[in-house]
Amino acid sequence: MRVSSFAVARPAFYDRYAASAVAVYLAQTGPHATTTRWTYTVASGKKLNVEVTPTRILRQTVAAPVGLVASEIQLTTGASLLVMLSNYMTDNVPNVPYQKDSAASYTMYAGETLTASTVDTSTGGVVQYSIVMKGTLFDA
Amino acid sequence: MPVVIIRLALIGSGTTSDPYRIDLPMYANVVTNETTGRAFADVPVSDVPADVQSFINAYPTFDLTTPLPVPFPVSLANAWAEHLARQYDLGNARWHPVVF
Repeated sequence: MRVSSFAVARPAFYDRYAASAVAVYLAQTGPHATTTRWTYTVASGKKLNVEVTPTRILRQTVAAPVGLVASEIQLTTGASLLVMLSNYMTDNVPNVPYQKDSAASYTMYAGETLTASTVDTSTGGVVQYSIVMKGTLFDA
Repeated sequence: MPVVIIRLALIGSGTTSDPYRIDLPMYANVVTNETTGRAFADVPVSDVPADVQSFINAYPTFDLTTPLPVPFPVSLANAWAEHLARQYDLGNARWHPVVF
């Protein structure tokens, strides 16, 4: 008698119509209130594996006085708001980079949202920001 | 992902709990003018219906201060919201972006 199974392993996530997902904010700007620079929402039937979220803050010209300069990445899941990465400084010396990356990758599910925001409470001065997300979007 | 740059209305108050933002599920590279309440953003082409793209092409914007020559039609705004609801299919999640 021949024994066989019709069970077939489900393809790995990167073989389920996977595509790179990218969100970027690269700019230099002066003091500003808290502003969302990018948003990524996972659509129904999809999942997103967030792989890297490197951020960099670099003061370019001095402020007078200096305030808090920050960039932040937040995950909204249901009613919860989670700070996934926070990069901040109160340095008034130009050209000193403040860099941070997420410690680990994480999976996002349909309806969840990743947002990146910046704030600069200084008076005067220009700061360069880089907030990037690279992930893989695939069928759930 | 191909994107289109659109000038949109800002929402929010600029606080930590209510940041200035755009009422869209996906966008990037936001440049704002809080005084005029306008922002440029890169928006995925797939999130913008053809008739909204036609409006954007008909009334190009070059800065964050000059008002549009005509207001963004309510019918287009409603059609855009319905397009996003279908595209993301997330139940009661709804967005109402406005070209501004």
